[in-house]
Amino acid sequence: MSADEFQEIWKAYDAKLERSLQLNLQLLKEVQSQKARSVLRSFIASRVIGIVIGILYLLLLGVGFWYVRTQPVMAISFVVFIACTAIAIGEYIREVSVIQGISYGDNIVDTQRKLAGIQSSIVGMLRLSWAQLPFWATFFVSNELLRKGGRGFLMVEIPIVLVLTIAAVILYKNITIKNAQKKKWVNALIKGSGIKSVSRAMDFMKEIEDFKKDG
Amino acid sequence: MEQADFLQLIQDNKGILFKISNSYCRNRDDREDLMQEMIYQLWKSGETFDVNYKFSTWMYRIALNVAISFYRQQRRSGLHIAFGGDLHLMELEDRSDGRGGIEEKIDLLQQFIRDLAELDKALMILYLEEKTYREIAEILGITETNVATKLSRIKGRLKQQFIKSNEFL
Repeated sequence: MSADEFQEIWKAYDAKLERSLQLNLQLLKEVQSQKARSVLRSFIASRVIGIVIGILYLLLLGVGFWYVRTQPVMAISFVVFIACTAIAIGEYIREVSVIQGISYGDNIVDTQRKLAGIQSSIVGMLRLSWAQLPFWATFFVSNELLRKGGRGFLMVEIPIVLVLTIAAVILYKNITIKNAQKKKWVNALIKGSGIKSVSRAMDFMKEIEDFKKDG
Repeated sequence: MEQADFLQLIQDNKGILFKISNSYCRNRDDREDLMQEMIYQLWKSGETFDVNYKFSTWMYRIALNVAISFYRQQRRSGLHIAFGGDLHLMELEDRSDGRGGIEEKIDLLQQFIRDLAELDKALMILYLEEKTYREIAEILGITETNVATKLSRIKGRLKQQFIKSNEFL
């Protein structure tokens, strides 16, 4: 069977469709007039909701910071939480602007890479959330607790913070899209976060890169 | 673009849109949803159509980009317009032309295309639509050499599958 025969079969398929495919023009007008929710629009909606929730959380953290501003350990923890939340909100805003700039009329590889890239960007959020890990063990450490807890408290607190810091550094360094394709535990961690679309997007990113390679 | 022109455009290209949706979706509801999304995006993008571009290049880009995105979202993102009753945007009457074996070959070819990876599927559809390597490269955003290499591999696999299936037929 020659390769051109496939095109012949496809032409026969064309002829069949020409004969038997009926287009309902009335419904077609309805599709035009109704504002169908596109996949992109639902994605933008989810990001806008994320931005609103993020801003509310940021305000809450701001109030928290105001109350603990004279207590150094707590204040530093709150500053880290505020910074991470602000970065996440900024990333969401960037994604919305990128997605609004995506045109389906552009070439397929570039468009799909942008879309998959945005979906994978949640990996960056995951890194950011792990980076805050040690501060979850410090945000409640008030001046009074330090004074009253004394050496006993520090002997428990410092090793916990150290372990969490080491874990945070390891996780932050390793949780990347590249590593997800190389290291099983990173892949499991990302997929285990329950975000199926992310793992699909990651697989697709790899497919796009392979597809783009010559030969 | 005027509505009448747009309707004519869709009417003229209904076969292409059907083939793309059929290649990316197995069941009828999914196909219907994808058709709606492709038509909606074509209508929406009509204003941005650059007359310097070849029309078919633009249309294939939009239809295939929508199909791949739709396929990857695993559909049902709330975009379905229910028309009520048993109405469908496109109806395919079951008219077998009885030309010995061609129906089977069409089914086999469709099955093969459905099993390809998303981007390979787009590449194969464009090849079957008799686009030149240059046009395919332009639509997909890869080099002509890459188009040739990938097509040669896919066609090789397709031939093997056809040979295998003929052994069983």
